Amino acid sequence: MASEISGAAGTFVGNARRFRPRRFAGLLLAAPAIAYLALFFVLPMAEVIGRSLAGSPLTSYEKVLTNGLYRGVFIQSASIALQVTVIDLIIAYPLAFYVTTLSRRARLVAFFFILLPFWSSQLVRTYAWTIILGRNGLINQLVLALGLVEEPLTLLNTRFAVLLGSAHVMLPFMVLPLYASMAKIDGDLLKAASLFGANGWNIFRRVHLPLCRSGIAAGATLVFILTLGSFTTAAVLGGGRVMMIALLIEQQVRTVVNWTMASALATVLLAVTIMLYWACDRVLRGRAVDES
Amino acid sequence: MKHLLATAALTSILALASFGSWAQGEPPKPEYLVVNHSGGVEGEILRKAFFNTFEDETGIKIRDVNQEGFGKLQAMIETGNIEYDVTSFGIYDALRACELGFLEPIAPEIVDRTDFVDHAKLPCVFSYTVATTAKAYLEETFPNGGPKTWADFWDVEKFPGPRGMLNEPFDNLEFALMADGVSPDQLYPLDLDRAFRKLDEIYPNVGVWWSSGAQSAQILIDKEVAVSTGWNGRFYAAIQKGAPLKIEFTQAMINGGAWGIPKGANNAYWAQHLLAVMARPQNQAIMSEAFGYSGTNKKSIDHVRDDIKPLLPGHPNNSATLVQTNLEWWRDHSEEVVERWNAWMLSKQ
Repeated sequence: MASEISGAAGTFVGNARRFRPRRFAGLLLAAPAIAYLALFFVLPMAEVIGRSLAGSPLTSYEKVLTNGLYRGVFIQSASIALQVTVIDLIIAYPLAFYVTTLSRRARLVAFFFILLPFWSSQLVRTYAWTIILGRNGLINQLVLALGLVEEPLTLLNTRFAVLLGSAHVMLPFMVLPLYASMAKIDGDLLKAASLFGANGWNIFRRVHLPLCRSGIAAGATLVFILTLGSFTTAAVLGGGRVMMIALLIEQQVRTVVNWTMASALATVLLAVTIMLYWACDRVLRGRAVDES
Repeated sequence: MKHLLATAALTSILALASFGSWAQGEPPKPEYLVVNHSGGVEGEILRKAFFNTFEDETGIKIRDVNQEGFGKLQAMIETGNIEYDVTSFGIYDALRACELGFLEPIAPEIVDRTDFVDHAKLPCVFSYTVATTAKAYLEETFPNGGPKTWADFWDVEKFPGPRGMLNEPFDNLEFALMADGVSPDQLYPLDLDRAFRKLDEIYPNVGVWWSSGAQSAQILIDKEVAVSTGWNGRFYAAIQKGAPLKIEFTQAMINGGAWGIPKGANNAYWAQHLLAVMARPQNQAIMSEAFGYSGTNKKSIDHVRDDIKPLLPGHPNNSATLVQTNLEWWRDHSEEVVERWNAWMLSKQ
């Protein structure tokens, strides 16, 4: 979303000379944040990259990139992140649309519930799923009492549980950018399409969906990137069966005490994330130029 | 009152006797001794079982620090700037440090280890605990007696229900081989192919691959699994909180903590005296009651409360079939084995 705004601003600032003093003031205002990030993010990150090169340089990278195990974990993490993104997109799209149709007051209530997950710790939210999905959890008690199954279902400690828990945690990151996109859509465009004889499906596919492109790109990138590097959900709900990059990094540090390998994995994860972010930014910039 | 007086008298005589032996040319007492350990619950127990006694007897205060890592120790030795006098570490780090000459030898004239279990008499690594990876289940799950051997643990016909196992290869490979009929004294070098084949067999029945000690007890209490492997101290802690768990020690693997004195530590002499306190059966017994692990001093169990004794791995009912981990084998192979374990786990997904 941030990139969308900066992209749009870029197209508005036609006369760069006039804005130069303001730009300087902006830099000054951002100085505390920049100093903070430099000290607590860039510096430690440089340290991590430095550690990943310890020993004989690049052997750890060679291993991360060529060894089937590490490649497999990256592919597995990406596939989980992709699935979570698709699930959230399918849930968030109608939800965000519904919110745009609400009155101001009702919209505030809706946002309260959408943002509710942010009000509790992620760990607590994730543990709540164990109460619902467990062998003695709510779902199993229900289906056993109804006589639908003989043995309790294995829901917890599976890939399914990780997908469900991640989709829950990540949902607001999808809803908010989508809502921002949809709120800007001129309702008359949809009416016009309808007047010209488009059915509901065509209005959605040829008018609404294309106008939401930047929201979808922003939401999908956020959800994908955050899920790709997530730790808690897979650790708590995966029961050790679902291996993700963050779990592998933790294992390298805690069990094997191999900081070089852990740092190389983290650096590759960072590189993948930056590339994804860059790709999304391109899409959004392209969009901003189209609009102007 | 009389009893109290007698104790006081005895303590002072003992104290005098030991002070006497230090009298000739012992180094001056520092104000404090810096001890590096992992803190948390262990920190509280260390204070209660050992540090208080040491402070009372010597007048030297213990200052706790929590610094992780072998790299830190290595850097300290190399620069000659030793920041702590005594440290705890992972057992493999300890062995490596000992081999590289980073540790002072444990002084037999100060630290009395004559009554120690054999595996805790390493030349420069000290341990006060005999911890085990055992198995446990809720009493109600198997009212007529649960799985005893690892072959039983693998037998889901006779003992139905999901299993819980550690999400790392350590101990699990030994368990698999014992379940496959390898005699406990023939385990090493581990036959990896055979172990992983046996693990293939149990994989579909493992409900949870746990990764933290507390989790191993929690999945039993939540009935996510019928029986789980776990560190016996974690099961003990759950029992102390009222969970009706039964700990089964048959063929449990012995693990233990590791402590050492960095080479050239400022107060190496007094550090040896701290280890001497940590070697005493009475003090180890306090640790046993709090932690549920046995002391390395075989006499420590005599000082433990009677109702707790049977819950300790060192109790005669439990100790007969315990299996000693071959630390050297694991030190040399852990990296390769962890990689194979990860690949195996990934292949199942």
